[in-house]
Amino acid sequence: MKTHSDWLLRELPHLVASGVLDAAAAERLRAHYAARADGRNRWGRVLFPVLGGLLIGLGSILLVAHNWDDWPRSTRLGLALTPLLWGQLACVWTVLEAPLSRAWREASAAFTALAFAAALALVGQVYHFAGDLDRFLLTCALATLPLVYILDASLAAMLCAGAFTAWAYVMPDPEAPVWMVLVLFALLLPHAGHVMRRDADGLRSVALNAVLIPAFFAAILAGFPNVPRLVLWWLAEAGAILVMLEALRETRAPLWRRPLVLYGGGAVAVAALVGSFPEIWRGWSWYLRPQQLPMVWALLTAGLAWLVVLSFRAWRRGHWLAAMQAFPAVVMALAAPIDSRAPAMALAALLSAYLLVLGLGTFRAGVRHRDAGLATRGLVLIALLVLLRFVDAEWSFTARGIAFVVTGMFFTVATLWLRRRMQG
Amino acid sequence: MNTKILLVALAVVCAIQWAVPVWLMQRAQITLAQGSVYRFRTMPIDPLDPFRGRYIALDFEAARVKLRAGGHRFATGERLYAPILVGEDGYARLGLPLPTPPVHGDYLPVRVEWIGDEEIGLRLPFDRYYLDESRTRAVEQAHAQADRSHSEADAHSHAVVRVRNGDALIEELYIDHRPVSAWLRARHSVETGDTR
Repeated sequence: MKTHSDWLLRELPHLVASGVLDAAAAERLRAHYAARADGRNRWGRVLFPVLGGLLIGLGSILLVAHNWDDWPRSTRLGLALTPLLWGQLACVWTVLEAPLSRAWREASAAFTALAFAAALALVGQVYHFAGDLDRFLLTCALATLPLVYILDASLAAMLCAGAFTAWAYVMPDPEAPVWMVLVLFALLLPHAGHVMRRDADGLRSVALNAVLIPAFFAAILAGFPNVPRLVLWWLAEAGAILVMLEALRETRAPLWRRPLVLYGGGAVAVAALVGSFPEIWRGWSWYLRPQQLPMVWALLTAGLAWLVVLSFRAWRRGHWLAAMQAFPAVVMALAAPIDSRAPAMALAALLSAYLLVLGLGTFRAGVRHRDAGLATRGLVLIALLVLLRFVDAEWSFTARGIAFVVTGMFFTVATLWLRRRMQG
Repeated sequence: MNTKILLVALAVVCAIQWAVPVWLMQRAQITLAQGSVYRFRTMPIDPLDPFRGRYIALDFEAARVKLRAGGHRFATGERLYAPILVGEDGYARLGLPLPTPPVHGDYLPVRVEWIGDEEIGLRLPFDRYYLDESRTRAVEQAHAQADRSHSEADAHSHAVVRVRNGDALIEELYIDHRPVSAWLRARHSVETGDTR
């Protein structure tokens, strides 16, 4: 992009001289691209100090991890706490002297978070504390959380989210409490909301969502014990909610700046593709023990109610492709409390048909809006559905062979047609 | 937000961030200074903690406790309190864990890790001994060799633990009746022929 704008700026004098552009228009173009270049540099000015803070913090942890056990205990403890002091002083300096500097806010908060973790780790190392990694992670995250709000620091929020997720997985209790995951991530919601309100399509929002959303998905999954079909339902439901939220926001940002759609659409597709195997519905943990997992069931039911409301609103606003994404979650919710061994084939066929319709609909929408990326995503979905049949023992080799050949031919013709259509 | 409010909030956060490690250090110092001394037989292996570095993981004999017929029905993950008993050989053992701390004598807070037919496995509040990363490997290698050559080193590995009001910390790890650092030095001098 930079090369293109540079080329255009170099061409401007010639364009003015040859009368293609007037001087005022050329000046407006120059100003426009100068502002964009400045924006890029500003991001660079934020990124490098932040990376610096992160690397110094992680380096401190690694130095601590070496364990300099020839040194006296007091020296090691003093060294362990020194980075924390520096980090805190940097935070104070940022509030006093550079309150508007994003680079200082992010770097000082992230460094202090890691310095606190390093200090705690070394105290544990010096006194040979037992390996309570869950307590360690939770303490680090909760001690960092206020810095997220005091310094408006998104990188610290991402570190907290990572620690919450890791905590959910290393919890020694057999079933990590889902409600605690919800409460912990709710503590990050005001920050995420604040960043989204300021610039929903900005890189900070994109980066924050890109970390918070999968972290939340994964942390909740930690609380779904030994019931894979509930996991599938959760993936389909949470994914569809994300897609719906993004659709209702009606942004025109490119796809890579819409992590909600990327993650959400991906989660729905994965859940539906897994559900397209009949074996999944035949005895794969069909006994779901709702009475033993009340929190999980409450979460899934509340999520389903919200999803139904969101999909209705999306449908009314004409986002039918987004509204369609609620279908797998509804099917999985209906199948969850029953013994699904008898209707296994019907459920798999239903989800396969859904994926085919979604793929074709996405392809059609891409063609209609002249969006090659959208059309390709539709084709990829259909291709995945067919490719997975390679390992599906329900179909005979002949049927699979014919399906592969037909889909391959469809793919080739569709790609050629799509290319001509987009060029035209 | 007002700078003064931000500074006050930051001061509170900084104070909390200092209070956590300082409180842990103080508690550990008191346990080391005032705690009763027990010797626990152990077997070292060498794993890695991503934050705290390499350590010698300790598998304690005392972490396996024989069950009594008709006693308390244990559940995996249950948090209990195990009274410390000292055997005739001078090494510590644990009694059957109880739901509440015993009124008399020292105890360890434990968690039930597994339940067998005749015994249960407990997770003790100490399970590792941190060392310089190069030394932990040496300890593990030496132990593997000792095991192969049927040396009695395993029988002589034990940890000296200080216990006070349920807080327990390893004071020193002994291999072959010597503190691990002295044992490593002696082994190094035998290997290099340096007898200084």
